[in-house]
Amino acid sequence: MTKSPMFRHLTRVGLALALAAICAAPAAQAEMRPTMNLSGATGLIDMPSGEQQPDGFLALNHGEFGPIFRNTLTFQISPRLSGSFRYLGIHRWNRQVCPPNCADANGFTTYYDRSFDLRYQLLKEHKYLPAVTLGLQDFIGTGLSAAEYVAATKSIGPRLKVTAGLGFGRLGTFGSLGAPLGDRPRVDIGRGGKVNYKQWFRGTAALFGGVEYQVNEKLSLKAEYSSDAYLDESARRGTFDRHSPFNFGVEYQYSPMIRLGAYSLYGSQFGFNVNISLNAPQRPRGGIGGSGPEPVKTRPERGTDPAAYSTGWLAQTDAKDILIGNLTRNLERSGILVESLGVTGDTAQVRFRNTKYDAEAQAVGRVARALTQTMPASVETFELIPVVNGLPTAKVTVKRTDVEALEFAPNAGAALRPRITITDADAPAFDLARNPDLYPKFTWSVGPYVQTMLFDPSEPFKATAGVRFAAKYEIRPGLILAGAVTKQVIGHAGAFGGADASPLPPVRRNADTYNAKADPDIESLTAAWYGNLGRNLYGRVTVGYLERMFGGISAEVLWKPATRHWALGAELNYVAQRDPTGGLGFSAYDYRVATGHVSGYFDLGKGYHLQVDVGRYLAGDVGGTVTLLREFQNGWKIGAFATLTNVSAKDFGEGSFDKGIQLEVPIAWFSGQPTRSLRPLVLRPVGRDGGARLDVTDRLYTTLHGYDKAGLDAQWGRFWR
Amino acid sequence: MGAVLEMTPARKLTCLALFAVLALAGCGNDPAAGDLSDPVKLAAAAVKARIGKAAGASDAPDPAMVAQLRAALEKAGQPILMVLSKTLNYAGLMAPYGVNGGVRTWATEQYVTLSTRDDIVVATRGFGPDMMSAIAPSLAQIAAGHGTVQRRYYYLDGADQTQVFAFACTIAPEGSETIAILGKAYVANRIGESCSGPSGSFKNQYWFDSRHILRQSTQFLVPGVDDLLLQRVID
Repeated sequence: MTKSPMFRHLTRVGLALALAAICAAPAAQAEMRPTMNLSGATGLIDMPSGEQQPDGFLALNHGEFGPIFRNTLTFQISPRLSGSFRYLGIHRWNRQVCPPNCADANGFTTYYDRSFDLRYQLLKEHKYLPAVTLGLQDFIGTGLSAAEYVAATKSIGPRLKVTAGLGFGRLGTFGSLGAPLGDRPRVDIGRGGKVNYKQWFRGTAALFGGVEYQVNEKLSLKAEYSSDAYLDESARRGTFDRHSPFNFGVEYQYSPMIRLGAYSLYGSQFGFNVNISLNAPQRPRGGIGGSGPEPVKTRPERGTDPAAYSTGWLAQTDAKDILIGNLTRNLERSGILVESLGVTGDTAQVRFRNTKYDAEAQAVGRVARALTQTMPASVETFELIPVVNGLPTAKVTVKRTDVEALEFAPNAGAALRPRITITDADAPAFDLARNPDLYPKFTWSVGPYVQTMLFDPSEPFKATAGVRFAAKYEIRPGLILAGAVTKQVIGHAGAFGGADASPLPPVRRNADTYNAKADPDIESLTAAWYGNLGRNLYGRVTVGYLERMFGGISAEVLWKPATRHWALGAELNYVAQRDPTGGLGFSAYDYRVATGHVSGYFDLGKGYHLQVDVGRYLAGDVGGTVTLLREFQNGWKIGAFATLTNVSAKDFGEGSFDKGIQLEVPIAWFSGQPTRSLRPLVLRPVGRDGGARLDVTDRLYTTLHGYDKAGLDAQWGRFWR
Repeated sequence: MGAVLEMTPARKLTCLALFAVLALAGCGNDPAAGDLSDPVKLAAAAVKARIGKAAGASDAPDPAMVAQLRAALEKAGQPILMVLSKTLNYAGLMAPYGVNGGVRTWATEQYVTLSTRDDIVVATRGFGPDMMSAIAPSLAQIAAGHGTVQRRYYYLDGADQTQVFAFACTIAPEGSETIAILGKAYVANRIGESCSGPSGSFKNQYWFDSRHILRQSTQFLVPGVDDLLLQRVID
């Protein structure tokens, strides 16, 4: 076989990257990949550049030199906007000042800090114009690392990039040009968590710059001139000696996702960097794997075999049972459970549960194929309704003739889409027969768990790990008993109960105590009811031990049409704080609270989702939460949230208000195989009591999300997979 | 009459492909059907040896084993397609699984499927990187041995979005040669189809036997993956 060299190269890189590369190939010359600096910002070695990462990329970066390490999570929020969350540590912090001066921050031998960055690309690179980015580094918080800059980067040929920038704050401390925009006011650190906008672009400014040269596909060299004097770390505290503004390094692209760097910094230090870049919008293996579907079974022509189209079978008393049985067996290997079936002479409605596919469209397609195998020839219209927790979601109506005709049509997904309808799953026009074998349904699982406690000032990474046993008993559609118990295998013996004093009830700050004492831990033990209260109106009531720290009752209603881009909900809970010992008691804290929210959910388009919650939080504080998420078609969700309540910054404590980053990672992205498994992750710089919400599982919006028209359309091509 | 409902068992391909086909006595778990393990091992070894050969290894399959496998397949009497992909390290026997219009779907016992219109691949499922649909020339156009045709392939990327690749292809005869399909020799006319498009180029090849049956072909699957080698073992 003959293949162009390009194809051979593609084999190594992987299909998805190949598709992405071909489809997004820029018209200009082959570009150098934008790389990251020690702070996990797109840039040189210690300095930023004018570039951004490709849209949707998520990077984990560990950079270290001398006494300083930085762990950074960076997300390319949009093609021009990127944000970072960073955890920084500086060793030998107080060796020059303590004793005698050991107060406050000087008490630490290692100083830890968290910070956020935002960077906006003002100009994309053009033939004669550089890429220009404006950056705000550490713009909320203590401001120890605060800097603002404008950086420009221009490619010269396919192998060389040159960067020049003007920095303020930290990046204006070496080789100062004076203060063009006036003095920089002292930062009022307070409890942190303030946006220090009065400082921005004030104080002394300085120039920085450097070059990046790509030796070959894998290897590149970097050199830079740094405008960061490290006044605090070097001159004042002596954590390292800054001899020179020049840094040099070599970087190696180990794999498409992993990049390694080694550097000489400031004439005295060795540094290294490990960068993991994930292309969240694209599964690395491209299209999803898993076994093929049942083929579509065609019907005989009505003219040649009119008997096949007779509806005499409707008179069979066991017709529905037989059809449910046949359908169930056909769908078994696709992990689809038939909940109920309604048939008339020409229409079949199937309500089913998808336990396997990360794309609802694929489950819908599998059911449509199974219906061509199992339904009598007279049945022409298929109504397909995915059901979750007993709740019918959207209704997909498909003509059998179209399924037969388009199975092998070019671009079959796009060809079928205009011929189907997606509507609200309203009450059926005919009787549904329930699958007699589905309920009661008992499922259980045993698996490992890891619980992390991050960013404790004295011990930034703490974790417990062990075994979780979970079981679920579904009595009938929408009535579910569920529970989970954990047993620690690896615990952390560290001190607990060290949380600072606060006037707020300790609704969250004693998480450490729960981690240490609750073993074994009855994490949850609940009875839940889900039901349709009316057209597009859903209800939930959950009673019992709702989460690790609270038990009680939680009730919720949600109005969510399957075809709209927004939904409204309300939740009311009355809960008591559980004992930290993992048992069933409520006596240790003697704390009861009514909490609840009114919530609005908005699909802003292009995968951006906004959620606004207003109400009363666990500590009795009143306020609102804004969550902005970006969701990719393959299921990745990445976003940020912030909660402001009537708790003052002083009472809240460190961080001033609750905020954080939220991720949801589909396991199918990694495995390339169909699975509905997700790994949620919430990162908070500080976990405190203000603005804390009850952590009840399977809230209605989360449960129904993805089953609506937008969710089906996002992955519609999977219908034929 | 055709419209009476009956219980239907789940369609299990274990009865269609490797296991049962090779069990000589047919489907089922009847102990009298003989020892299943030998033919299964045999098939696995043959397939493995074929992969080894495809990858350039020197050890050819044991001819006795190949003959035994062929005899078992012929006795079972079902059409059988052997499919190989070096890149995907995949080899399997496929049996007919469905027909829709002019398209026949073949499947392995693991439900990896391949759909052909006139023996030309128009869709695959379960290979991982899959051809979702395609516009392809007819077998008659290929068999003609000359001319130009257009191809379009549709894929889903890692975001489940459709990507289209278009190619223009030139068909040309490449002479006659003897090929071996699972121990059986055929004199075949080889025809090449050279395709190129904005995303690259590839070449399909077709071997027609003396009865003008497409006995063997190498057909493009997806960018970045070696062509599929398809051999029609049993008609």
